[in-house]
Amino acid sequence: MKKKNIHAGHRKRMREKFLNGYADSFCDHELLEILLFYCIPVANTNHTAHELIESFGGISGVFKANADELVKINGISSKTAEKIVYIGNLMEEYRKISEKNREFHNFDSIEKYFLDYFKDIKSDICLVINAQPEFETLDKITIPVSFFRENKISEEETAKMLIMKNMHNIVIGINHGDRSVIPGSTDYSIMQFFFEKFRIFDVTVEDCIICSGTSTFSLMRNGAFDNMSV
Amino acid sequence: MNEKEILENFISIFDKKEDAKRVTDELFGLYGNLNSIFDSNHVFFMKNIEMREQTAVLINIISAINRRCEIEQAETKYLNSADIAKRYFQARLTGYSKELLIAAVLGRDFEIIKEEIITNDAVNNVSAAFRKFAETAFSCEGAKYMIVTHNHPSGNSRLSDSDVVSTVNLINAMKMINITVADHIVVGGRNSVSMHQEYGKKMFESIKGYSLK
Repeated sequence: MKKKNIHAGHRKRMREKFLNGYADSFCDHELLEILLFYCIPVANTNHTAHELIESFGGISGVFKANADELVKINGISSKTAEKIVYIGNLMEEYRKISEKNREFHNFDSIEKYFLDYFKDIKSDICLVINAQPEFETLDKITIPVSFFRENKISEEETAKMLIMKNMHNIVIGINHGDRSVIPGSTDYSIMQFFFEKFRIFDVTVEDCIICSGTSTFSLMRNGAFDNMSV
Repeated sequence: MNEKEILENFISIFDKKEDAKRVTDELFGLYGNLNSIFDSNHVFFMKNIEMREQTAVLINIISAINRRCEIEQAETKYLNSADIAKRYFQARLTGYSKELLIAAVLGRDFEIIKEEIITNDAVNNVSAAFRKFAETAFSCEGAKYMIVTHNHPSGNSRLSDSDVVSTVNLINAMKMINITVADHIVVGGRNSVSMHQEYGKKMFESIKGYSLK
């Protein structure tokens, strides 16, 4: 008789919880447990996640450890250790770009951040950042502009994302790739969407900045916000 | 490897190899680079791309874990600048739905000797709270400075009048027992304010070794 895989239901439930909830509501060991689903087939990764975090002094320590250190933990094979090291290197690369120009002292520094972020990107994407002048941002969401054009953005999903990421004062960056930086109707629609719909949840749009190459166009500083209904 | 190859390799190793190229091509078509893919949300991936739930979770779990690592790495044992103090307490207080008031007692080099939760509710009795601050300081050998922090569960880090008044009173109270209050950090959501940066000499005495930049 085939032995029932008692872990299969648990992994699916954890993934669904992650997809339906919000990452911030997960403990460190739960996030690590989910990642280990992809590294360790058919096993209880919860204990392993706890042990990793305890042994390496926290979740960041796990991804700084080398493979020789990781294999000493119960449940971590050499193959799994290599995968964890791989993830650590991947996150290091991601952080290098994420952290560049992240101190926002004024709107010029926010524009610089957007220009760097969109550098070499041809796609029309919208980047929403949680920023107040002089503070770093840890929170951002990227959304393909085509989703706005095709009405694939739901107010409920967007509200959830903004609220769960604790976004209050946001700046929107819209990448135009190779096109002119002059805003079009889609750009105004995006700005209007965020400006009007989420004010009720204390989300304020500080600016909407169009980017193309090395040029920017600030909708706020060019008076576009003056016509928005408050 | 270029970014596309990195993502394709990543999906191949950790998820389904057969889907890796197609999913990578479609994600790059929409987002343009690896960073913006990681900064997005599975809700958006799954709307436009035929993608397994497992793949969407895999991509989002990387940014979620990365964020935790960033928060953890903001921790430091020496609070010798307003910016370091802000990052430290922001990491400490993120996610709390109740108001917390914490005192960090520091030594002469601004090293943390002790951290104590003074109250985990809004302060009603200020004298009682000040007494607890003093008790915390007295319990630490070598205590010289104190940094106080509290959070606004609303997520708004703007300073209130009572924040200002109570800080002035605290500074005077701690002065009596030879403890210099170096700063008061107010945390609102993912942002924080240093009252020493905001008010400078109007409120705080000049402290050698504590940077306001």
